[in-house]
Amino acid sequence: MIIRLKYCGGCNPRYDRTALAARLGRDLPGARLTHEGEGEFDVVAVLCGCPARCAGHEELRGRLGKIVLADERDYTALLKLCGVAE
Amino acid sequence: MMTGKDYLESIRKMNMKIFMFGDKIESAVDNPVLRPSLNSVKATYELAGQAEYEDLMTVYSPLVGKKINRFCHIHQSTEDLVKKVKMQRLCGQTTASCFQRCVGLDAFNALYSTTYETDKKHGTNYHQRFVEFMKKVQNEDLVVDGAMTDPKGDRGLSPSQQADPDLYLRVVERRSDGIVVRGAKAHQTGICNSHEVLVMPTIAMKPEDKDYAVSFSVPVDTEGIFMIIGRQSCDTRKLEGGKLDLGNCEYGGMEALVIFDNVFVPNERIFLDGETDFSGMLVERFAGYHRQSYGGCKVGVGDVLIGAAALAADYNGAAKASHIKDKLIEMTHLNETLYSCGIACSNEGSQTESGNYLIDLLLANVCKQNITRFPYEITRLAEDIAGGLMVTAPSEKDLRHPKLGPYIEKYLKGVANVSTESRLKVLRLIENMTLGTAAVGYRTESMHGAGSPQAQRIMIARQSNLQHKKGLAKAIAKIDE
Repeated sequence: MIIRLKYCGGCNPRYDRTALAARLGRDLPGARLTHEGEGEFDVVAVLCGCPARCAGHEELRGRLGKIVLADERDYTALLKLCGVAE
Repeated sequence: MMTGKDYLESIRKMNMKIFMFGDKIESAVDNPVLRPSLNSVKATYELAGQAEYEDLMTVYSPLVGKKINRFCHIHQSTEDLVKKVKMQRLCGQTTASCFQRCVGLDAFNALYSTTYETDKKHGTNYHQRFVEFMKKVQNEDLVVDGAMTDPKGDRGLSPSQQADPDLYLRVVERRSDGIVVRGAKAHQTGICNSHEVLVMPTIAMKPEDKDYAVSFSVPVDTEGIFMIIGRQSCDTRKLEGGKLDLGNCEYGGMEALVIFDNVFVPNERIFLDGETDFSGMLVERFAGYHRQSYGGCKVGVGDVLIGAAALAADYNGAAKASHIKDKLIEMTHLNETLYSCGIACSNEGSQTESGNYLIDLLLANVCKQNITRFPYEITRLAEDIAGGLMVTAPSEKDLRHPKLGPYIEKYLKGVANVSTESRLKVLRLIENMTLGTAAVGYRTESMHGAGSPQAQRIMIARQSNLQHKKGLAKAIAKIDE
């Protein structure tokens, strides 16, 4: 599974976005996480640091879906999208 | 886009004439007093290359049809204006100092629209020239110093009335291939870390000031340009060899007095020459953008200062005191109010005739007016929380001294689980930001940068629409006359 990660710019994040990405890597050891490329991936996770959700992601599509996170609590939904229960 | 290393080497290759402490500086890149300011600009390149920041730091430019550093962008929407402020907050958080690249960005956008409207009225071709210049800036990822402030001499006299005609930068010769200019620009932030200097007039002008209504860009190492570096409080600590006493040993800002001693400007780099009726528009738009900028950069620096004050409280064992908690809340409230102003004037922006976007000028001036006050209060509260030790602590050399060090370790200890050195480090950081080298950017620049307080009050008065407010009051009070 290829998971495309897209970060917001991180001007005032309410949680550690890179730590969350690292956790995803640990929880899904078989998945390939990438920060590059446009078009379609298996899953797109847009890691926004706050509810403004200002990251641009129009050019990214997820075969299984796309999720825009704005809170650490959204992580469960991301795992679910990847087909894993936390 | 350039990497941080590419940028550093590009500056090293330039042949700038820099003077400091009475000496000519051979290499600003390797000078310990100036290097932290270069590092701050370098950070704007490094952040752009990191996935977790690229959404703010980079943007697609229709001018060159590719992704560029946002510091070189012509704003295409209110979203761009908002993201500019967010990018500036991020850079302020990263460097805890002035990162110097905003002034060029603000000059780009002010000139983009002003040249368009000047051409429309006067039949000139400044806009196309400026577009070509911007393509070069974007393709080469350049740092450009936006130079506005003239020395101004007698403030009661116009440029052409001054006893010394060079107190405002002016055209002294017009040739078929360009112009020759003479004068100076004061307080030039980041000039020795820039590739180009983009000159603009400093005030609205009358027809008799024709020779002073001039805008152009040339490389900073052009023949005839030299700079004299401004002193900063505690600047020579950087020559002592240690790190602790600097508070912020990696990043900083710089300013200089820049002299233009008969500098030739080729025609293709002239963006205004004698059209005095557009001088005021250019000044007003540049000031507006720059007043918006402070709603991002100062907020980012404020984030670091609030964090430092909170750490000092932790290390002093005072974090649980209700008045300390309340002071940290107040600092946050003030800082986020500034951010709110930066975001608001961006969201309320509008499209200019040229197609780029301009902030709401009333809200941008309100933003900057608050900037002239709130960082001072945030600073006062940080000093209150830090305690007197931030200005009475012994030096790093004393801390490292074999006989004195143990006494300092013992008697300047705060809570048991934090080292004395860490406590001193955070106090030195607060000192740096409130009264050391970084106070130039966080305090006095907040007062006078992008225009002194009265300049904003004039703009607020001009745009406040008092007649409308009187009408509202009359309607509620049932006044018919």
